[in-house]
Amino acid sequence: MVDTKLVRQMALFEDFDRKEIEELAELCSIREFSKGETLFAEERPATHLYTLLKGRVVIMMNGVRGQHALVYTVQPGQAFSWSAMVPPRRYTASAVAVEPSEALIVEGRKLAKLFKTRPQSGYKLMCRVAQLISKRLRHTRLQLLNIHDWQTPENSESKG
Amino acid sequence: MSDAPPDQGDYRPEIATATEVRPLTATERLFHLILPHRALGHLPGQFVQVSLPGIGEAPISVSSSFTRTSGFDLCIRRTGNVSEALHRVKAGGRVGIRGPFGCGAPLEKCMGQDVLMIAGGLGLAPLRSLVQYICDYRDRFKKVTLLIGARTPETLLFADEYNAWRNEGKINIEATVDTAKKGWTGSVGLITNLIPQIEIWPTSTVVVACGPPIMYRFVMRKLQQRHIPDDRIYLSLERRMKCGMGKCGHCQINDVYVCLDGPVFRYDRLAALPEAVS
Repeated sequence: MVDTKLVRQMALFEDFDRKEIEELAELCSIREFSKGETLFAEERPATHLYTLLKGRVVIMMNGVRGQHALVYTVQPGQAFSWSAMVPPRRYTASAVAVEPSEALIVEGRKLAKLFKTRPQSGYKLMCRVAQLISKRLRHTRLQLLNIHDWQTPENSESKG
Repeated sequence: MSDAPPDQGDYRPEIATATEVRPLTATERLFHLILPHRALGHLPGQFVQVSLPGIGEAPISVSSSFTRTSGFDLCIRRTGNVSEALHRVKAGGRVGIRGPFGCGAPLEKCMGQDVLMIAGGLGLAPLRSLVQYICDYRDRFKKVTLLIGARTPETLLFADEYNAWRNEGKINIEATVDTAKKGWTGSVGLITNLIPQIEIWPTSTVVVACGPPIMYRFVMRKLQQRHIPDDRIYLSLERRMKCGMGKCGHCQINDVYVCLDGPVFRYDRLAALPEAVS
């Protein structure tokens, strides 16, 4: 169990009441990761939902010819590994600590079990998870626009 | 529109010599130019019109501070006919220069304040002028932060200068890229991702941002979430500027001439001009 104050600070659990936070705190734990350590690997079963407390974690995907593409850097306070909450519960990317890091983790199946008896809490969390996925999707679209050097005729060869 | 008749000299390019040309990335080159009879006399954020006879003219922001050397730097991305031809200019070659034009960055507003600079892609080229100025007069500013966004680590501009800016200029620099290969130790993601991570005192911070319009939309949301007042945020606009003197109307947005009234604008002034940052 971790300190309930810490759980309350997490954006994922912002809407939760005191009792819910206490129950969640029972399921949460804190894990430390050394620089270069893999938190989880792409395509492996997604077991835990993470919120980064300290350090930096990079999300990367396997590309062609064994190359890895770094796609997102998780900053402290941000949640990641939403795959643990959504079937088929497999990580869609890998996560590696790029500096000594610390994360609050909670097992997805335990959360699912808790929320079967507390569907209202489950709904609140899934709304947050949906927001997280939506935000990541928007970021990905914008990154794609940038990568493809998207620009309007107006600003092509405008001011360098 | 300006009512004053323009100085005839403003229409006539002066011939500048490129004393040094170096590639920065696959698509950007840095030109160091010298005018024969005068210093350019520009302020950070101002731009010049660069021309090649028989090809055309393009507006390019000055990438160096007037506090550095006798000439000035232009960072030029290869995007069209003029810039393509400019990329063929070698050291010793000559180009036409008109300007400087525009009103530039708010130096006086930044003095005695924390300064947050946000540069997306080629936006670092004009901001480098402000960065150099701040490095040269560091005691006039409080905490200085520079956020840089680029597509890949290979497209980061002036990456070989970051250490000097950090060490000599005491500038906190954070860079992020849209994608990278394994081995990159900086951040990956949008530049907006960096804004929640930095310390900001909203009432003593001046923000100067330069990047593509789409960046402004999302940067503004993040800055507003950090409660930075609109009158402390300055954006540099990209428009197709031609004459540089508010005469031709190419860069006009309603009653605003970007070449004359900008290209750096205080955000509360742009609130009435939604198309300016969309």
